[in-house]
Amino acid sequence: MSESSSRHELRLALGAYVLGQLDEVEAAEVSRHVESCSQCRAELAELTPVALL
Amino acid sequence: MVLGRRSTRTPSLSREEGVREAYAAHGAELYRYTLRGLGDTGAAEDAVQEIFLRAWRARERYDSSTASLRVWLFAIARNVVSDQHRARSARPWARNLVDTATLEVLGETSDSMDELMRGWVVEEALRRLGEEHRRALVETYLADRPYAEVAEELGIPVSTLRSRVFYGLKALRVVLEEMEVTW
Repeated sequence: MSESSSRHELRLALGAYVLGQLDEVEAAEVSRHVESCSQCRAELAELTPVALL
Repeated sequence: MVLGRRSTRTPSLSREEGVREAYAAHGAELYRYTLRGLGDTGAAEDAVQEIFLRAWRARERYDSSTASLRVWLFAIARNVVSDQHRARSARPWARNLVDTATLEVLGETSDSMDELMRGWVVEEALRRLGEEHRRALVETYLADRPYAEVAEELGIPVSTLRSRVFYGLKALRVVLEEMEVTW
């Protein structure tokens, strides 16, 4: 991913994000995006408990 | 799978680590027994899990002065095998359903039992996913392998693997809800 990462790519990265599989740079990018995207926040809320199991 | 190491102490279900030790000591022979009885490795694995869950639920009733733990577990095994035969002939479609009472137990367990149960539930849930989703989650998360390596092995771009992990987690959530897991 990079500055040009599309919203779609960022959304698909949420799986790796909740599983702690992204490197710091990418994780920060996803994290910034989630703050401004309500759809991704909802996705994240849905995936987080699954990842914690 | 969260199995403990074999212990030299005599397993007893009253201790926190008891079920894990009992599994290490008797899991293999119980598996051979259920496999003979059911003739199917998947069903035999499920049966072994069910035996230990029933044993754990009934642990207060176990009296080591009347029967060895092994004898008691085999008594439960006979019931589980015969219940599975009955369930299969009555409801063939329900063969793979997890006993809901089993999942209710999740809320009232000790830490080690919690961990053991969680391992079983996740394993069962993963079995119900499609092959691509399961493989993506197992290789990257459970086996903790780098995405680039797994993607190359599967002959797909890393972005596709990411997508499979994402949709795999979403599917896992649906499966866990079907299994009545609460969080």
